[in-house]
Amino acid sequence: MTIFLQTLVFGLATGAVISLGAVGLSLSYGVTRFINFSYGELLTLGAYFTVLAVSLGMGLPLAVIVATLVVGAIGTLLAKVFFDPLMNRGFLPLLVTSVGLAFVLQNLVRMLFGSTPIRFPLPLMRPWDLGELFIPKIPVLVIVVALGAMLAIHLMLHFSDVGKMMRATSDNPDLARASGIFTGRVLSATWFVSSLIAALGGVLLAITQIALQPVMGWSFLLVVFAAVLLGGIGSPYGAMLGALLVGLGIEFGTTYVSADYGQAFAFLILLLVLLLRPRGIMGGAA
Amino acid sequence: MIGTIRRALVASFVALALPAFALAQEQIEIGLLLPFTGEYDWVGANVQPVAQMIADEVNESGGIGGRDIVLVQGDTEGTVDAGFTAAQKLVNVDGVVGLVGPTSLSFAGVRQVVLDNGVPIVTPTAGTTALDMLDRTYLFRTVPSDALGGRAIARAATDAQYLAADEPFSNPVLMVGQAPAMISFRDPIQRSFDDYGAPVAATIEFTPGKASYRSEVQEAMSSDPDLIVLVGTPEDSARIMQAAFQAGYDGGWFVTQDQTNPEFIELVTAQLAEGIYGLEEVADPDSAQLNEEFRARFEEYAGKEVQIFGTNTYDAMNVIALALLRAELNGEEISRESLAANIRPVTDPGADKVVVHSYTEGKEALEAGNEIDYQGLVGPIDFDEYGNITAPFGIRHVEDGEWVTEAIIPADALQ
Repeated sequence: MTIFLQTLVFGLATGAVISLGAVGLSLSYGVTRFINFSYGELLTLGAYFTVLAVSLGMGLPLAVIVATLVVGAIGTLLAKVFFDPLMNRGFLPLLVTSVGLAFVLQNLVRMLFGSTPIRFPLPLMRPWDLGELFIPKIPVLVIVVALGAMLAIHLMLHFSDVGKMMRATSDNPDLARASGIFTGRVLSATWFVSSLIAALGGVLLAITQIALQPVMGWSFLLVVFAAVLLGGIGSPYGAMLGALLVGLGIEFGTTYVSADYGQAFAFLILLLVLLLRPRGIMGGAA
Repeated sequence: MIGTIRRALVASFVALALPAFALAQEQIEIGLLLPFTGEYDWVGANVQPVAQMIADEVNESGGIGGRDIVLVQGDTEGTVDAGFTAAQKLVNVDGVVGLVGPTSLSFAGVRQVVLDNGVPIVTPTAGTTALDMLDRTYLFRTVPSDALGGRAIARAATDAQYLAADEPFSNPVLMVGQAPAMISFRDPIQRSFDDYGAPVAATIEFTPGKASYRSEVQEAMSSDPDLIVLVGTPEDSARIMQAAFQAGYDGGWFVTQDQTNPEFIELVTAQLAEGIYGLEEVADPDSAQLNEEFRARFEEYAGKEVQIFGTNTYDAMNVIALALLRAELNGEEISRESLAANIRPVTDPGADKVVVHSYTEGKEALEAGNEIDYQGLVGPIDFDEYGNITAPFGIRHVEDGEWVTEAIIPADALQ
C-alpha cells in the first residue's frame, strides 16, 4: 500500500509536468491547426533561462516569472518569423519548418550553455516522513504549481476576452473572423500563452529531472504528443486528462512491471484508447 | 585548339596533383579517433592539445626521417555508429598509419574496421573490458582496464586503510548503466567484491538518460545497502543520488572516474556529495616529478591545465612517435605494420635498454644506437600480451565540498 501511494504521488507529479506541455501544445494546435515540433525547445529554453536568471542574482520565483515571460515573447517572435508566413501554405511546410527550427534552437542552447549538464537551482529537500510512508516534497511542489497553472489557464479561457476569442477561433476560424474577431491578434496571443506555458512546463521538467540538458525538451516532446493525442488533439481539457493518464501509466508501469519501459506504458495506454476512441478521450471538444 | 585545352588541363592537373603527392610523402598521418562533438566532446578537447604538443615536439626536432607527423581528427561523437563512420574515414580515406583513441563508447563500432585493416591503436581513453584479451598485435592502451578499476573500487570499499573514517562496507549494491562504457565495470566489480568477502547484494542495471530513477532506487534500497556503487553518466548519477536522498537513503556512495571531478559536486550539490567516494586514475608515484614537469610544460604550451586523459595521451603519443622513429632508423618503410611491430620494442623492459621518459630522450638514445624502454607518466607502460597496462588508482573522498585523495592503491595490490 505504501508503494502504491508513493507511486500515485509520483504519477500525479509526472502527469502534472506533462499536462503543462500538453495544454500549451493543444492550445496552439487549436488555433493554428498544426503540430509544432519546435515546441519542446520552448520547454528547454524555459528551464535554461530560469537558471540564467538565478545566476544573475534573482530569486527562484522571480527567475521563473521572468524566464516564462521571455520565452513567451521569444515563442511569439519565432512564430511571427517562421510560421505565420507559412500559415496558408498547407501542413507540410509548417511541419518541416518546425522540425528545422527545433534543431536550430537545440544547438543554439548547446552553443550558449554548453553540453555539460547543469543543475536546476532547487535546494535539496528530505521527504515528509509519515511512519511507513514518505512523501517527497518535490513532486508535491510540482503538482501544486501545475494545478495553479491549470486554474489560471481555465480562468483565462473562460473569463478573459482573449481566452474567449481563442476558443471561438479554435472552434471555427471562419465564423470567428466573420464575427469580427481579429484572428491575427488571437494568433499572436495564442503563441504567447502557449510558449509561456511551455516555459513553465520546462521549469517543472527541470525540477523533476534535476540536470538540464539541451535535448531535454525534444526528448520529452514524444510523451507530450501522447498526452495530447490521448486527450483529443486541440482540446486543452482533454490534454490535461491525457497527461494525467500518461503520467500515472508511466509511474505505475515503472513500479509494477519494469523500470526500463516507462515511456512504453504511455504509448500502450495511447494505443488502447485510440483503438476504442480514435479521436481521443475528449476529441473535438474545446 | 582542343589539343591546347587538353594540354592546359593536363598541366593544371599535374600542377595541382604534384604538391599534394609531395605533401603526402612529407607527412605521416595519425588519426585522433575521439568524440569532438556531443555529450562527450570534452574527451576530444582534453586529448587533442596534448597530442598536438607531442606532434610539435617531433616535428620541431626534424620529424620522422624528415617527415612531419600530422594529426587528423575523426569525430566519433561518443557513439558506436559515428565511431564506425569516423574510423572508416580515417583508415580508408585519410590513410592514417595509426590511431589515438577511441573511447569505450565507440569501441564496438571501431573494432572491426581497425582489425580488418591492421591499423595499430594506442588508446588513452578506452578502459572497456572488451579490449582485455582481444588482440595481440594491433591494440594497445595507456589507460588501465575497467577490470582493474572495478577491482580497485571493491578493494577500497572493503579495506579500512583506503577509506576515510568509515568502517569497511559489507553490503554493497551495484547500480550500473546499460551502455558499453558502464556495463564494462559490472562483472569486475561483482567478481572483486566476491573475492574481498563482501558479495554484491543486488545489481541493478538501468537505462541511461531516463528522467527518473525512482523505481531503480527503490529496488536498490530494498537490499538495505550500506554502500551503493554507481556507474553512470554524471547526470544520471545526479538523478539517482537525488532520488535516493528523497527516499531517505543515508548510506555510502562510490562513483567512477567520470564523476570524480569538481563539476560533479556542483551538479549534485555539495550537501549530497559530502562523504562520497570516487575512483581516480593517478600517475605512478615514481613518476611524480615527470608529471609535474609535464603539467608545467602543457600549461605553457596550451595555456590551460591538464585535464582527464592528458597524461594517458602523452604516453600514447610518445609510444607511437618512438615506434615510428625506431622503424625509420632501422630502415623500415613507415607503415601500419612497421608501427605495430615497433611498439613493443620501444616499451618492453630489458636489461640493456636505456630508460626514456619523452620523445626527445628516446630519439637521442635511438639515434645513438641504443634500444629504449619508454616509461611514462601513467607508469612503466609495459604492455601485457594483449596490449594492457597496469596502473595505480587513487581513492578520493568528498570533504567540505571538495575531492580529497584519501589513498593510492598500487597496481600490485590489485593482482
